[in-house]
Amino acid sequence: MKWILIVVLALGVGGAFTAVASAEEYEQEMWEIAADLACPVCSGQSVKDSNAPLARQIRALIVEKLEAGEDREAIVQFLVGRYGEGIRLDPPKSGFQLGVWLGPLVIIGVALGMVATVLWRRGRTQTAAAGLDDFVARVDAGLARRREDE
Amino acid sequence: MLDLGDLGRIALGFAFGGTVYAAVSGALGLRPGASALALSARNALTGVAVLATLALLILMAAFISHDFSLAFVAQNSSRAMPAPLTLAAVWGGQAGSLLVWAWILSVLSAFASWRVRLRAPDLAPHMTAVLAFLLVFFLGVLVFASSPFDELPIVPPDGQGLNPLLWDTAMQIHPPLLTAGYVSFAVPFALAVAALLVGKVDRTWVRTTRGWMLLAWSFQGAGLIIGAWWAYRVLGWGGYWGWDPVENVALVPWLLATAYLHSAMVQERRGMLKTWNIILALSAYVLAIFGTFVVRSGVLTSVHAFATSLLGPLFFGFLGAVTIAAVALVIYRRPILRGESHFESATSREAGFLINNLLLVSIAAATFWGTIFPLVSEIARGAKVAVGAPFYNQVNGPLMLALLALIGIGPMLSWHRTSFRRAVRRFAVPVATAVAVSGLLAGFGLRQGLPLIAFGAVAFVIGAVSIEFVRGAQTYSRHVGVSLAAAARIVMTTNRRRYGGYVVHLGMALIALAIIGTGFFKLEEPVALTRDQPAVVAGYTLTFKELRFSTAPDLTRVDADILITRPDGIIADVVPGRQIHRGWESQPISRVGIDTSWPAMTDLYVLLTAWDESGDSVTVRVIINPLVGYLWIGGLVYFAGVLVVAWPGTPLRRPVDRRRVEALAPRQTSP
Repeated sequence: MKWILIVVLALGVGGAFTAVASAEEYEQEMWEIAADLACPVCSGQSVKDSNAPLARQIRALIVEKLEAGEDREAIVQFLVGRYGEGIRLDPPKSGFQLGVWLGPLVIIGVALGMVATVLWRRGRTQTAAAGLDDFVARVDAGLARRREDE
Repeated sequence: MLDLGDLGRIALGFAFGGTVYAAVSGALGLRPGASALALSARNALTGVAVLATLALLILMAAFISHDFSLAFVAQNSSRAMPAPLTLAAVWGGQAGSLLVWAWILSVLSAFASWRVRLRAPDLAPHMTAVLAFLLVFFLGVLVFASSPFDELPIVPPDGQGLNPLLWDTAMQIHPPLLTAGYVSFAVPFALAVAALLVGKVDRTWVRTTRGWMLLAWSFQGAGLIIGAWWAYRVLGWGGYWGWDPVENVALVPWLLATAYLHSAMVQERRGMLKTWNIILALSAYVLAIFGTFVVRSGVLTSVHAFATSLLGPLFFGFLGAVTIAAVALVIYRRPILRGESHFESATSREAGFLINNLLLVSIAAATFWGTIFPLVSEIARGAKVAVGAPFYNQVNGPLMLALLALIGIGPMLSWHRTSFRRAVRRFAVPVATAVAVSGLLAGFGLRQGLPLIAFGAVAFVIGAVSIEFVRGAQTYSRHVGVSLAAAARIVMTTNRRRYGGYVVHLGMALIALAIIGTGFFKLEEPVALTRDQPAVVAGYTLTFKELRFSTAPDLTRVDADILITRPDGIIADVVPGRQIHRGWESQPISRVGIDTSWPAMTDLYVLLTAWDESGDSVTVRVIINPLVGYLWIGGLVYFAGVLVVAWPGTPLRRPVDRRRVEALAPRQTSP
């Protein structure tokens, strides 16, 4: 009888420990997921950072779903279905939202092209308005040479 | 009997009339031989500035005397608020903010008209006319669409009070500073339009504009830093920057101004990049207006919020008109915007500035695009999307890292071209510093590649800036024969633009340090604490001592006394708490407990999230923010650098250089 009690207790305690350990594990993952979700009722705060009741509910829901064995993508999809695409702070790199990622690439590409063109054009034509610029340039060069000599 | 509302409306009405007069006479005064009208326009603007000041003072008087017959006063203050806070409530709402905006613009316009007349007499009348036109819009909105002097039919006994999140010292300085920043971009804009109208985009233009851009840039920068400081201490989420639309739209003009301040040097020195500089000066203002429009119209929350107030369409129309006029002018004046010389080498100082501009404008454009993308999505397919921190971190992060490295590289490049020998000599020390710091950190067990590179870049910048200071002082002391310390002081004070700029660079390196620390090494953990039971979090020991409840007439408060022992053994305490203001029960305010350690400037940031009514246990959220304090130090250094650059007085003197120029000139000019 005593032995049975001890075994049951040990199992219970052990079970409790595993439960605690996995809950902590899930919590860690939950915060990571929550950081990339917009709190639907706040302005500009993530589900992770917000203290709003809804944000807390969503966090609890994420833990629940993690415990039920769902993965991150499935949970995010579920929340997108419920609250709309506006909940994703991290825009997917596909579909329409690919546009937000392509924008900066296009801008940087165009800017790089412009800079390259400007730099390549050097030397092809000599200074148009010589005068002062030319003088300043030669003074600069002279100064640089002197500094070099120091 | 006139009350404060009537007086305010009268002052605003006359100010509006005066501005319309200034705009019309300013425009007519541009014809040849009509300079008397131009002079009259300038004088009228001074009068407008006085009237707008009067209107602002009247609104302040209404707040202090709790004149709740004014709707704006009733909505944004209450009898319980202390007097300084009551004054801050002036910018707690839309109409009051607009009045502050118009007031700053009127004072600035009058001041600029008077000052630019001495510096750039050709441009002054055109600039005055442009500023008067801008002012017509803002005063018009105040008079006809959104007045802080509208009266309520029934006077309420008390006002609704100010959102408790704004009950903070930072809120008394952040909004006016940022407004001053936004507004000040009007002067570079007006100067750019003036230069295009006159057809002279010369060195006088670029120099005059630079001064005014510096003003706008430093206001905006100070506004951003103080805003971050407020968010960090008051909002209680452990961060200082969230890539929120309101923050983004304030950052974009600052980035463009930073780009201008650098590329302006290329035009001053080599007569290049004229179109580019004009576009930067114009777009900084257009985007500042866009920022205000976004913040004030609610358009980013939903396209549908746009039409709820008249302000949205008005601002949108203004923005459109200003943009179209600016673009048309640039196209019309293309012929005079051609550069006077060409780039000679990709390893020149001017090429460095070009890449600096590329990076700054790319960050600005990416930020802008991310901010408006939800709007684009809603218009294009009716679905709302969010673009949050992950996007900006991934896109802007690498660009900012490159920019950081360039802060170190740029100043070491020579104009025209940099010889290889010289490059090796100049880069040796900073590169060695960077390698040493990264190596040391790796030796201490830091194994993440990106932070290692980033810390190396900070070390590189600090090394480069220090070397520049030392080299400057050494050269001077050798040539003039004074001690190194004296030479350092003289060099600093005679070439304030350059060395002030280096101080600003140093500030940026410190800010980068804080961003790297919090970006890569932030720790966050919820902790349950029982009275007198120590708990350990990331090397800190926290012991919860006591829970205190207190009530004041208008708020209830709970504070948790927590004793902490830092990893290095120093004992301190933090008191996180919550307070609930009467009338704002749905918005409890976190009182963050912050412990900053020196010299790591690492914060233990403690938030009280739950407590047991008996006072035996509390739950706190503990956040470790490594190096975050360098953000505030960097901000102060940034501002010190700005003061060095902008301090009036000592003219730019270069005793050594002038002698050399004189020695060189006759030989080189006579062939």
